[in-house]
Amino acid sequence: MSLATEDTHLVSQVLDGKTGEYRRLVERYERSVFRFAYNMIGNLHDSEDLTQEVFVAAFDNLRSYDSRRSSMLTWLLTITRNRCINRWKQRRPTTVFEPDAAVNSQYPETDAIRREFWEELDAALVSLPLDQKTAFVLAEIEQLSYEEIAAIENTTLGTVKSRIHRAKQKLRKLLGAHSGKR
Amino acid sequence: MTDERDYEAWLERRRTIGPPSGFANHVMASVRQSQTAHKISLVVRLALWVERSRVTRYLACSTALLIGSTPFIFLAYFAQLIVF
Repeated sequence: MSLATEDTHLVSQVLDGKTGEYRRLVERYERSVFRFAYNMIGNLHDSEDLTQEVFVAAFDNLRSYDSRRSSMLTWLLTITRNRCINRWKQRRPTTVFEPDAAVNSQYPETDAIRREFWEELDAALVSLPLDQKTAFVLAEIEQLSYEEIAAIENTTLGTVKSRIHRAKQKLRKLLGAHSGKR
Repeated sequence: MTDERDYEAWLERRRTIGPPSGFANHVMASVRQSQTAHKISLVVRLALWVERSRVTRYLACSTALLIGSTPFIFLAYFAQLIVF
């Protein structure tokens, strides 16, 4: 059974009253939703809250999910994106990403220069305009296709490509500036 | 070239981020909580709607009276059939 068929089957089971089956959908997509939220917000605690909100909202609106229009992942990431935008409007992130101990512990050999470079990239990602950041995160970190990103952002393929291009250009500038330092 | 590698490593690092273990339990608890809150709010909304106008209050009372008196109507009907 394909992933999409399995998702549709799980959705119909949940709608039939087997609420427990929703856990399987949560376990399947929590990583992607959380990662997207974290890369957009840059704060672990807020990302956990937002991911939880997304799954509750998805559960409440499960009846409106149409598997012919989008995949479950695209649908969940659309909800996440909209919630991130609302949160961003309420309080714009001004700080860089919080260092995640769990992530950093995987790279103990990381030298100071490299770590500094990563921190600069983190800061550059935070400072990107929201539309460019969304497109960049979805393309480069979530590794979604341009078509999927266009569906999530409700825009054209051309706009998606240009947003990703501009975001990369800004990060490349940083790359250039950093090369000069070495 | 080192920067390119560092950039790729940075992307890879961003891709490894995941929720804490047992996160699905928290989500499922929130889902159940939201379900309960939703049920309570439905009852509250119905109560507020009934309370809003005199007509709805009369309607609610009549419905309650009808439901409450149903056993007595049946009892009265069957009592007629009993011949002493």
